[in-house]
Amino acid sequence: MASTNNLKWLDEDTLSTNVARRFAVFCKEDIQDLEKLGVLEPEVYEAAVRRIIEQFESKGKESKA
Amino acid sequence: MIINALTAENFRKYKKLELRDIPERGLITVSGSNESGKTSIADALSFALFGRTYLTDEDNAGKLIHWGAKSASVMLTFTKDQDTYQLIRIINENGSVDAQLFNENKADMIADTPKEAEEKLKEILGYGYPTFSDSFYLVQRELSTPNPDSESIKDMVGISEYSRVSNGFLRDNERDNQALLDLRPKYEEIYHELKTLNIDDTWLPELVDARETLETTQETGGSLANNLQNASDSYATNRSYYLKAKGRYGFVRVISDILLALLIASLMAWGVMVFLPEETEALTSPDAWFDYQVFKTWSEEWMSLFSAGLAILFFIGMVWSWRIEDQELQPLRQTANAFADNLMDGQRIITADIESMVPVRCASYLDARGQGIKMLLGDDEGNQDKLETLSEDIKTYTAENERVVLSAKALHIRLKDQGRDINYRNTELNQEIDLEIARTAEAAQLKRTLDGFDQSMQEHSMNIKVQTTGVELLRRSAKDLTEQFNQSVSKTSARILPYFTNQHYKNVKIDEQLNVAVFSEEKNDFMDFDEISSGTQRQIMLALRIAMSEELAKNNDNEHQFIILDEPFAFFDHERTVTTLEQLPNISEIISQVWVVSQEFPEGTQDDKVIACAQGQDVFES
Repeated sequence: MASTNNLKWLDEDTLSTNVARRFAVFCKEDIQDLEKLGVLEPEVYEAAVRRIIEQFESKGKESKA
Repeated sequence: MIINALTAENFRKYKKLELRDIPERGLITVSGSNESGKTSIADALSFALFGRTYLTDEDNAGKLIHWGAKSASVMLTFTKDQDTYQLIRIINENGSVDAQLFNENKADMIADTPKEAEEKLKEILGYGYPTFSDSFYLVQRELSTPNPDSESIKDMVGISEYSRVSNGFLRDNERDNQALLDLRPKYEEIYHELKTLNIDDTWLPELVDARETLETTQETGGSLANNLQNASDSYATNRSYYLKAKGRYGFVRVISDILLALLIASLMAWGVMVFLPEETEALTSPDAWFDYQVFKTWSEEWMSLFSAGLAILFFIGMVWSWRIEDQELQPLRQTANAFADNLMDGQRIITADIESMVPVRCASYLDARGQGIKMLLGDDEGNQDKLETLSEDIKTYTAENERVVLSAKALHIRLKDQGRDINYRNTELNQEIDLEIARTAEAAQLKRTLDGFDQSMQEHSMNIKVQTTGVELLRRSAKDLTEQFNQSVSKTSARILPYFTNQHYKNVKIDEQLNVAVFSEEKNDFMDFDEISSGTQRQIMLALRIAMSEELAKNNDNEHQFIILDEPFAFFDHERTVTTLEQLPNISEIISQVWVVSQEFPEGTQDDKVIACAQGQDVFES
């Protein structure tokens, strides 16, 4: 089972919050581990990452507004 | 976050407090005997930031007003991320608190109420009072073993947001599960209704086709019946015309044939005279039966005219006969043929079996509804042969008028009967079609509803899957960050600890539950926290807390951070106190502004700002 794009869309440098950046770095390693274990569901994983990042970033945007 | 200035009026011990020119980096000592106002300074800072102190919560702010005064105010200036902020809190006579927060760089007031200030400060600093009191405001007597599940530790690890998001996912999962539980019985109910309808998608098209076929047959039959009536009515007249025309045609053709024969004969005679003169001369003997000379003279004078006349008459005869054939006989034959064809078509229609016209299921349906498969009840097998003979006779107008009229009338009646029969069947079919259309529409509506439920259930299921994956992902990430935090805290603690313990302990190990083990040089092994003396425990705990505070500052993008250590050396001997004071400003690049509150400091302490409080002094400026 191959990941869609190994989270290539996820660029931690473009994220505004520290928590989102650290999480993005973790996910890029985590997805490779799951892929090796053969337990990765790419679409579900990617959707989960997107939602979490959005929530981290929305909180960050609120604080900078 | 670095403190730049702190001023207060009528706050606790002080009528007026003014601390300015506070260095961004270095050691700031706050000294004084009991009740000299040291803690009032720390409380002023805490109150300015969070509207509360260690002992006085938000609802009892009135207790912080200086004795004899009616109101108090505190103003704090601090820097975070290159921005300088000014925070003002005023305690009114009734104990209520006003708050305002300004961004001095932007010359903008960003909060105008305590609630707004609390929210903005949480956003700017990344933590609230509980975390502050566990990190950047360390009171030695209150230091305790950190609880890994506390919010302040989560703030320090950088996973407090994780709890918010993870709990949100878990709540969403509950909602999605509930939605699924609500949808499932509805889905099953609609599914059962749809199943009960038992729609066959091919049945309605078959019924409609059958109706169209029967309608077409009915229309054709009706049209044929009318045609037969008309044709039958005009047959006798046409037959009379036909026979008369046929007689004229025969007469003209006979005359024409005679004229042709005469023409040929005259031409032959003329040819013999021209091409066989000697032989014709022989015919002029006295014994000849006619006078050749007379004939020759006549021929030479009239033959050509005679032949031309014959030819003209022959031509006229031919044209006349052609005209009779074309203008009279041919149309009448066509009419007769059409009549004959109509008869046979009508016969075919009335003898047609319904199964040959509509699908078997429709025929069976009509049969089941009490309609016989046969259209007509009469025996038409024998009539078929008679009609075929009659049809052939009609084509030649040899059929007797009476026979034609009777047969056509009989067929007309049968076609009309059949029309009524088909009409009756179509009524049955229409009822079934209307019913089936209504059932199909109902099924389509149920299917749409079912599809909607199905899509909704799939979305909820997918949400649950994503959210569960998200919760698990956050758990793994939190575990990873906690491990990093523990390693980092261990590393920082190991750097600080030797100063605090006079080189007795140099290494610490922190597990997932934040249990601390300290490496003893003497035992050459790690010791559990409770195996060491309480004094050393306090020193280790202080080192650990400073290390954790550094992590908190990092997680909130603080490049430089202040820390207040209130009576940190209560369990330190003189040597350890001196060593620690020397090293405190240098233990971390991040924890750069170190405030130390103590009754007294050893001589020769290298401080960068001295705040020396004295008993009875209610105005302090520094």
